[in-house]
Amino acid sequence: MDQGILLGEIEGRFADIIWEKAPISSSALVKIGAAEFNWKRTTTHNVIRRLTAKGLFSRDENGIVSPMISKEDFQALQSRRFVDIVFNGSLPMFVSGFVKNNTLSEDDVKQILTLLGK
Amino acid sequence: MPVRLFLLILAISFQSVVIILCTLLFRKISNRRCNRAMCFLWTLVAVRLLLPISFASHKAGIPNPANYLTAEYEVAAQADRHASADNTISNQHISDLPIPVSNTADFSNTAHTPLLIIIRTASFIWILGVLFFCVYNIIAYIKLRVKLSESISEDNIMLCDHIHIPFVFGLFRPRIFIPSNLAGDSRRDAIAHESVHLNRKDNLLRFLYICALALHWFNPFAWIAFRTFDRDLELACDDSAISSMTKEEKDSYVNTLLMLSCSGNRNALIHISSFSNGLVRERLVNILSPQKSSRGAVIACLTIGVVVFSTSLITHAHENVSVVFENDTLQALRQDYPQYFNLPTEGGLTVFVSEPISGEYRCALVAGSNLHPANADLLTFRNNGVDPEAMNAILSTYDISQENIHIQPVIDLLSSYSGGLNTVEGQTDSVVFERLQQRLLKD
Repeated sequence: MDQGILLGEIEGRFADIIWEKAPISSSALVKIGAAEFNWKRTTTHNVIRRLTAKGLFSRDENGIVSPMISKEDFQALQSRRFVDIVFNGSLPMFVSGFVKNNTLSEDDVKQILTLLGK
Repeated sequence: MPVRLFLLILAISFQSVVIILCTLLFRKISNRRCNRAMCFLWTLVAVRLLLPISFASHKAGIPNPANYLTAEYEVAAQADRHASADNTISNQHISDLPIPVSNTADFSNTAHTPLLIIIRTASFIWILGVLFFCVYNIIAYIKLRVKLSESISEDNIMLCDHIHIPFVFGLFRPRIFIPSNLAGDSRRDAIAHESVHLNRKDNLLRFLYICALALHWFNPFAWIAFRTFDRDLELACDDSAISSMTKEEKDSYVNTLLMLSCSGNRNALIHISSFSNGLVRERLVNILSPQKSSRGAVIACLTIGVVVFSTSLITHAHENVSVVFENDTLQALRQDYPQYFNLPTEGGLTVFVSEPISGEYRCALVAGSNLHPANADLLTFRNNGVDPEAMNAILSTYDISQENIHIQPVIDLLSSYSGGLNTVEGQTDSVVFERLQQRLLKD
């Protein structure tokens, strides 16, 4: 978990659905999988199993899937990992990348200052 | 019988070598001028590999070692059957028949047996190879199918996390699969390429080749043909995909091609159409410096293709074996009356005919001419005679002119019928004889 987890786009979309509707039973998820993506039962179960193995969700003995980490925390983790990989963990470098190429708008600056203040 | 099937496939394999070499040569000469027509040529090759037809001609055709093997196998198999057959009446009578038997028809010749063993072993290995090929590819197909089931449809394109290159998948309902992390211009280029494959039903052609390879897995030329067909397919596809592209779009296409070639080709199954194979350089050359497609080249290509294909259907017949692919009647006759096949023809052939019942004739075949009817064992006829039509078929397997075939009526003293062949004076009714001769010798 501390290394960050890679999610493919498809997995990501399904994970979003689970976060949206959690806690939710796997059979309900199967129905959603079929309706949205034309997925068979086994396919949806495979995806749930993989997401659970990656530590994002957990499935209890009644088949209810609940999140182990919230979506925001997960996305923060992904961003952290991105910065780690690309900018060798340096956040200022990451931000300066934005500054160099685009001018930050007033709102952007305000947002950043608020976040930093936090 | 698997051995006969193996010999047939072997014959086709040998014949295909010529057509494959010709196609490769033409490909070299035409040098990317008619990529699409080349694909048609390769289709002909695949058809040739799969068609279980081989016309035998004594005059024309490519000499084929497999025919020699088939002929030897027939003789050896008969000898084997003969040696192991029960001691039936027919066997006894054959040995009683005072026919001059030359060495080549000596059924006790044991020199044939090693060849028989070799051919049988080879057939067995071939069947194993076919099974292994089929099982391996079916399993690979299923595995990929499972991977691809986790995909999402978007604008009629399937996006999937688990693949790294785009391709067309599916035999009956083919669809384009794109890696989910391929976006923007690259996605557009990949879709353009795969759409051409989809529209041209290239996936069916590939499947055809896979079937051909299943049968001809032992023939390296078949594999070469498949790989080259693959390359030409991609070249032709590129030609079509970029035909209506602007300069910028072409640049993007080339970039996408390069990028995908680095992504690793782990899905290297032979039945998917992949965007970049190992021979990316050839595709780049084709895109960046295309050869002007000339109508002449295309026409030459198609003509050569049809000519070479037709030639490859004809094989030079080995003597005494007229057709590799026999009809059922002859096969049955070979099994039941092996003593009438593969007789030596240097001294001519004699057909002994008797008429045990009015209108019913029994024929036997013996090597040699000027044989006296008394030499014929009457009981042999009654047990092992065949009707004139069957004897006609048997005679057709011989490479002998009609004047060397002697028809010798035999008076059937055991028959209560007199007339026709059995006239009281010992003479034969000439009209009856004429008609009989026609039935025996007509083509």
